[in-house]
Amino acid sequence: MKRALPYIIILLSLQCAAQSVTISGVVEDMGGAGPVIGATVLEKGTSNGTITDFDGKFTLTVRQNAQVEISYMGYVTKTLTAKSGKPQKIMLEEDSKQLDEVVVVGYGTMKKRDVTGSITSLAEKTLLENKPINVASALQGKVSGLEIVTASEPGSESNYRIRGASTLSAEGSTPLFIVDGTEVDNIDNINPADIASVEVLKDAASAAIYGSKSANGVIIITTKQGTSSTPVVTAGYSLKIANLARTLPQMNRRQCIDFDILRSYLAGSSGFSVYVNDSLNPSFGDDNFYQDILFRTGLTHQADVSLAGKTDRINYFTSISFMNDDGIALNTWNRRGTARINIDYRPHERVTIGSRISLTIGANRRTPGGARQRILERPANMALIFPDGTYAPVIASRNNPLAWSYICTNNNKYYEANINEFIEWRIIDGLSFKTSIAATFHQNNYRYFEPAILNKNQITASANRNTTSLRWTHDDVLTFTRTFADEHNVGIMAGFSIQGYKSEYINLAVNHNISEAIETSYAFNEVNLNSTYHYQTENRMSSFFARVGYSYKGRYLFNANVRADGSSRFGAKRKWGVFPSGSVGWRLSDEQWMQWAQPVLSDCKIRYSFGMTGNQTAGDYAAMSKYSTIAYADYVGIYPTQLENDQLGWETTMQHNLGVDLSLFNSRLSVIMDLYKKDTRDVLFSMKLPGTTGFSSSYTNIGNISNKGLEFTISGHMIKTRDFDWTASVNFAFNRNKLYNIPEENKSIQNSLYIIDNDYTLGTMYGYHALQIFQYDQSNAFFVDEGGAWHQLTPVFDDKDRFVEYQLDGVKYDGEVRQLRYGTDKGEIFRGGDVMWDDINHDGVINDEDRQVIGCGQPDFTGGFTTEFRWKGLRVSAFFNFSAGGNVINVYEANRNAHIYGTLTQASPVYLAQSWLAPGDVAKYPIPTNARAIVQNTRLNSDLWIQDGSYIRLKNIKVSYTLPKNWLRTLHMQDWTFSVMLQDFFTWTNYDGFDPEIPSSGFAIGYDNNSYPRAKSVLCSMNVTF
Amino acid sequence: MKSFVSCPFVHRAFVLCTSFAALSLILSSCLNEFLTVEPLADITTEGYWQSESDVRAELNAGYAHIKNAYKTGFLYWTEARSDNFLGNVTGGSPVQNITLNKLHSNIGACNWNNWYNLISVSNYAIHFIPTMNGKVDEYRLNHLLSEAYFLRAFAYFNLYRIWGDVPLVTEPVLRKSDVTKPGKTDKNKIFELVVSDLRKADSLVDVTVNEIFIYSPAALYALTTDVAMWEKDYEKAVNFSDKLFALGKHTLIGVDFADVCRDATTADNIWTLKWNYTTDGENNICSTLANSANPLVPTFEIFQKWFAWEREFSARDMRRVATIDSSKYKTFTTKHVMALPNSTQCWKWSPGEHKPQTEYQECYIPMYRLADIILLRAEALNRLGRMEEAVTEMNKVRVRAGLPEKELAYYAGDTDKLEEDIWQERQFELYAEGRRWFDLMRTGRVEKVMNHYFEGYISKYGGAGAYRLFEEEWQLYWPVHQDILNENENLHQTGAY
Repeated sequence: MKRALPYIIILLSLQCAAQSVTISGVVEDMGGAGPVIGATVLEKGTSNGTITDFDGKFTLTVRQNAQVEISYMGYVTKTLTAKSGKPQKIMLEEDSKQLDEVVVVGYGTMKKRDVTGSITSLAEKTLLENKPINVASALQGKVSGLEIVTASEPGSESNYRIRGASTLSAEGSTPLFIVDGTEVDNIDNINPADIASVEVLKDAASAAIYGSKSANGVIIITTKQGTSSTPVVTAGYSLKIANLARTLPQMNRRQCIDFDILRSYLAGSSGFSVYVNDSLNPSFGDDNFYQDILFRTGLTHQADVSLAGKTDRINYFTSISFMNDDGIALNTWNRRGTARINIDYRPHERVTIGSRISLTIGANRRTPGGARQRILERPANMALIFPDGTYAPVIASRNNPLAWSYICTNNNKYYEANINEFIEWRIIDGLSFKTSIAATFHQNNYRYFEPAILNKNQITASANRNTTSLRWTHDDVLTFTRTFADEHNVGIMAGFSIQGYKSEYINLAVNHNISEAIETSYAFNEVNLNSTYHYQTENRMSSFFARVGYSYKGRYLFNANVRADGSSRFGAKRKWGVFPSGSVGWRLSDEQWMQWAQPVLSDCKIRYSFGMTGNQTAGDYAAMSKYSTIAYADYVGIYPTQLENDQLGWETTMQHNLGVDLSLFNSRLSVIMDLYKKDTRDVLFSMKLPGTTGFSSSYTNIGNISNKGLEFTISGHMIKTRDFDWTASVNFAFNRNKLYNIPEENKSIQNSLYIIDNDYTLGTMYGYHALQIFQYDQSNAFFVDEGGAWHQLTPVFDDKDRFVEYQLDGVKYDGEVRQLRYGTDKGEIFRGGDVMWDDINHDGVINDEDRQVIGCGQPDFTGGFTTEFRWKGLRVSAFFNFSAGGNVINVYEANRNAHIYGTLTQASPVYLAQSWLAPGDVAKYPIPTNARAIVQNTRLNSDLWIQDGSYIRLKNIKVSYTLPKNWLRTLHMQDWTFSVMLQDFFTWTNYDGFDPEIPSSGFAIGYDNNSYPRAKSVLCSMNVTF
Repeated sequence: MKSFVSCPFVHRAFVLCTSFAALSLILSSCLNEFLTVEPLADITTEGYWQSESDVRAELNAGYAHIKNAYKTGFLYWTEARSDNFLGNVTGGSPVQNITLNKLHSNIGACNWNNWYNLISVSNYAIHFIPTMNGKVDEYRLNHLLSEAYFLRAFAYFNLYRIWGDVPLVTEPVLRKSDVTKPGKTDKNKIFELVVSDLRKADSLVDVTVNEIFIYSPAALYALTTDVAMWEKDYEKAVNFSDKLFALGKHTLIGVDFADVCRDATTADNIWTLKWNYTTDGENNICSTLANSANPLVPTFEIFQKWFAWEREFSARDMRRVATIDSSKYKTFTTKHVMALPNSTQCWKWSPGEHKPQTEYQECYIPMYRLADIILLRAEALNRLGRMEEAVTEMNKVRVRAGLPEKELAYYAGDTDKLEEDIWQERQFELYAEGRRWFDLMRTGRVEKVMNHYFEGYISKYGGAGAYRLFEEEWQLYWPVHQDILNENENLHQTGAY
């Protein structure tokens, strides 16, 4: 940037008539970045001037007492009076107002000042400050309303949500990703060091230019381009050391024997499984704490080098990076190499030919399904490795997780190429035409091999799946921008786009491989007819779009978009959809009558937008009837699995957004606030169908969801001096949503827990409320008053524990005793150790009618807090994120403490300690026996398993040091920074699972079923720029 | 401004804009074609139902659904509820609640969806086969249609016996707008459909077809005989067993009892469910029966009964040796109901040897055997007063088992006594093949036999108070799974579950 200073030709004109003085000095950055090279020093009103040299020094002869202006792009211009004397030190302050800052919007750019929608724009500096290893970690917590849940597992995709869920399918809730103008499926493989800026389009007016795919917002990524005429080389290296952040309690050998005895006793059986207690049996002689054995310290190395520069005709940026990410789970890893070449060539002053090419090659191994899930349920005494060094096979249907980690192949290799070629022709000033063709080619080769020892039935299995996909886009865009009479800014854009996507895969699954030495499907005895096939899916889209923007003096702003999309997914009559949007803005601070506020109010803008966006994620052939294969022995079968649905319509979202941008105290304090209302109609959802239809689910427009929310970000630059700086920023997002217009046939309870009905919030958990655990069999005794209310009676026992009488409020009770029953009025009577459920209709029967709202997965608010201190080259920063008020259902604990399986399913020792074991126990959890399964004490849809999922997490705390400029200069470097960062080290939460930050999928919000444990890590990195 | 107008770029811009507009026009006319994408690898209704192999493949899927249904609950619906087996309480999948009449709506076997998948497959075939006239030979279409009716009857027959009242779905769900949430239909109506579907199947069947793993006329006649016994239409049962015999393809003679399950393709086997581990997955039916971890264990009572039975005739019943491992007789303790004796298995699928569980993954499940039909026929003949013929039929089975023939004179005209003997033969002959519980239901003996079993046997061997007596009719039927009730508010739970 410093070198982008327009060179001003300076004519020296000595005015001998006046008395001249020679002034000299050095220009430095107030922020401590060292000397400012190339700053302009100009005698005001003349063309007499110079520029600062490599050390920031200058010498200039001017008239006595002349006004001298020192300016540099990006800094506030300083004026001083020329006086002879000692060389002066002139500190330039960075101009945070940056009027010319540009943001990328769909198919073009816009001045940040003129934006009327809700767009968050992040520049390179903000993105890279914590040395992210991927885009998700670069963005996390920096954008209000953007929720990212990253998984710690290497190679797993991150989950993005903009402004809550407005739709119910997991795929359909993901924002649209645009990289250098091209749609991509995911952004996980982009090297964050290549990114110049990220724009998050949150409201409809901004996103609607992308039409039918934009309902969940858009994330636009622009990669870097060379800007400096001297080539800049940047190199970075980082090392991440990760460990399991939290371990969960697991039974040890002794506890597992006790558990077995306890369960047998409670079931009325005298004996227990002898093998469990036999320490001489090699299969049962261990005492394993699996979380120590199966997790390790994971090291991630990441290195990247880039070269950027420009000449008169060419801008270039090229980079390569390599990452080797070893996960904290044994033998999980992701290795990735990426290369990028961005070139702009100007064969003619009005023509630019550009090329963006990026190549990725990578491989990963992830935990095979089910290995993780059984870790805590496997008894501690089961062997992993026999004394002779061989792996223990499946023991009593419990897998050997160590063998699964080491000898099960579950590998992916992936290759991706993104190519985007364009020609831009600036036909006349202000009018330009850009045509581009872009393609993304993706190949994934998956290989699975399961040696016989891993399989319960001692049968080898292997599978291969090769997936090839191609997405291509062709865009033509005509843009016209002009300023008339210095006051009227007009921008017009019109374009046409066609795109196609085709994906095919070949699946091969075999059993009984001939030799385990050949770890692939090469020689085998049987092919699995159900999983061996070729599949292809394809969709196409074609669009016309246009935007008109007008602003008067930058004070009154107006923008309108329209897009018409035709999609092959739409039925013949609904092929085309039109998505209009509009927005207006008013820069209050520029009004004459606001002049008085000028000293405080640097900038104030009010903006309003509305727009319609669409969502078409329902599969390529969702409206057609479809059949699938299913084999019966060696008879190949085909049966209908998807219903024809000619009524299937497309989801549309109408969104209103009202925002205020405030900038105060010379931009030291800024506030961005957005209020929105988002109505999604005809929400697409793969609805479970009654089993009597013979179909499991079908895409349906189930009804409407409305989201209302408020987001705000306050950031301040509290202290701003040469050596010391303090900045802080906080953002909050509140989102409320509600289901409405749900037709009768679509009302349902999904996953046995989440209610879909009018006026309920998405993610509302519906089930039974546990009041207490009955202390004694006799505790299930109630007196029913005239009003129908039930009052529990207190049983009284004599000194030999024999039941004597009931008391009500300390007085003996002789009246009728009523008891709670399960299911019907003839159902099982609850006993001591059973759960006393809330009988809301007071009929003495616990059944469906007693279900109520027992929690909600949606947090009340979420947000982040960042602060940074700088003292000279030393920076300390911290970033917290938080979520408050959401519930999490700990499905994992619900399963292992359900006691509906045998003792091989190990319970949590902590939960067991809080369970009812004998009459008189005041317990939190019911009797641990399946003999009482008949009253469903441990049903999933109860608040026994629901916990508060609120948390505050110190996502990262970072210390970095940049070498002083003068040292760097002697080393011929521009920058040399070291940093150390602690990630996810501190979390404050009451939730007792691995991690309260849980990816949501559709309605299943706060459903923690065996998520990958979170890692805490130390990240050390070093960056140099020449 | 002048230079602006004369600027060559304006001309270029004009040319460009015009060509852009022209291009757009051409494009838009081509666009609709561009936007039509036909699926390559997906089968849709329009392209299906063209050839015999289309129908064949669709009906094959029905057997996959039967197999899935059997995996879900076969042993639980049948053997576990009867007096044949004890269930464990602490093992990997405790089934004691099922064996002691304490069913609840969270047991996987409460789920009936696999049966409705089979009904959907049948309904599709019944709907589409008539539209194929002219595309496939009529006699082939008739036979396929017959198979579709047979499969639907089989599904409803099982639903009727397991749940009683169930939703009645007889039309295919072709499109989303056909989806309904049906309530339950009275079980007698369900049974009527079974009878009428079998009648239609009988009128369409091709008697020359000879199959064992899928539908054949023999399978139809066997099922019809079975259903006739539930109808108490003994004439019909005799008629259909006659039709089965007339096919002349099945016999007990020369078939070793030890092979009827181990190699379920003998002349005794009428219809057998084939099993292939690779496509069908684990055969949890046979591996549960042979599992050393004791999920289900033959009762001590069955050992005692069988020994007493042999003493009565002073002969060895070959079926005992081929069904249960009698050497385990001594391992039953006085409290064995709660602590099951180790490694007591039913080894009917590998008579005479215990194999590791992994060896049972490809065992075939006999659906109908001739011996089953012969005994049903004997029962029917006895009911019709044709005792002599009944004894003759029963003796066919006894002779194969190595037992002496019974004399008609022995019964002295006591049909009840003969019936008891036939029922006893059925318990031994068809042990672990899923007949006992349904026999008890069909003959109205559940309350008598099972309560006696609970209060006598179970109480005596450590299970006092752990069972629930059969007192009401709804207890014969299974609860509906909670997930299914959640999906469809028009359904209500069975009885007082």
